[in-house]
Amino acid sequence: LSVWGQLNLQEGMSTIMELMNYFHDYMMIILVLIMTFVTYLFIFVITSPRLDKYTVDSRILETVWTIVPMVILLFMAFPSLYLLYLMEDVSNPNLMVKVVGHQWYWEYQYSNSWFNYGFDSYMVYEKSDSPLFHSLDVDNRLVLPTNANILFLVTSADVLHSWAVPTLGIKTDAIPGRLNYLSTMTPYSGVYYGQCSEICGSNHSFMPIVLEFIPMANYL
Amino acid sequence: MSVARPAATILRRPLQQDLKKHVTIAFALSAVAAVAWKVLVADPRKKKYQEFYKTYDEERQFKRMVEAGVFDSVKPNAEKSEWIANYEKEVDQAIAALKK
Repeated sequence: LSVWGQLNLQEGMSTIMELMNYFHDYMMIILVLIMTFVTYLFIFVITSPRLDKYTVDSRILETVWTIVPMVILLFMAFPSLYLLYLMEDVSNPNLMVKVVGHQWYWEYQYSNSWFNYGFDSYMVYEKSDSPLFHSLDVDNRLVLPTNANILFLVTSADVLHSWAVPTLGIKTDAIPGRLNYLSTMTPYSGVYYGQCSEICGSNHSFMPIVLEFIPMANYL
Repeated sequence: MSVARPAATILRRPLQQDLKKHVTIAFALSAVAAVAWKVLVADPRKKKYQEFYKTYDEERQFKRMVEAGVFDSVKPNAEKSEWIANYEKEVDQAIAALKK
């Protein structure tokens, strides 16, 4: 859950999101390095009394400032692609859930070859003294088991929506006529919140997502 | 009586001379900043996750959350479990000790 004044990513509650947090820290190391270098030279150039009106080109300089960014990008690309392919890997899901976006609520369907159950999830409009989270709580939460590979198939019945749960590191667009897939696994039980992430009309801000992860023994 | 000689004025490519010094300083500063980020932010975060994993007991945390009424699908028992009551007592004692 986001808190007031939060600047960084939310805590990673799935394995992929933890890796994303580590990757974000790694990228910040590179960015802080570049930012410090550029800022220092920027301040020097502005405050320096020296002037050089006669430099028109420099082949060495152009070579250096092409090769160095290329090397930096290589250092950024390899872990990024590794994490990207890891996210896309869907191997032997234990449970499949269909998510359908509507204006302005989510519909969830658990289904397999012998079982089909669906329900709608509307935002709860709470009163001012209610203990519920503002614009985040719903009437029917999506209940899922921990320590299980879950595959989400996301689509929409009307306009574009986007199904996102930041603390699990998952987000995908719900596009009418298309099935997008997401996979996640979390070892932590708890309640995780998300919100629609693609503008879809007047109540776009009022169609939250709430996942309830409980141990498999209680789930079954 | 000897008089100290003033420093020689750089008359040829002064900007380039200055730049050599300042680019070196910029490299050094950026390396320090990057290492500082790694040591002060990245490594503590990894350590925090590792420490959490070492002591995380899913069953205990789940029961605690059920008793607190966090879940809609699993309701708490009418009577509090004895271990929850003991745990809350320990927390109250720790808070009272900190306030002293």
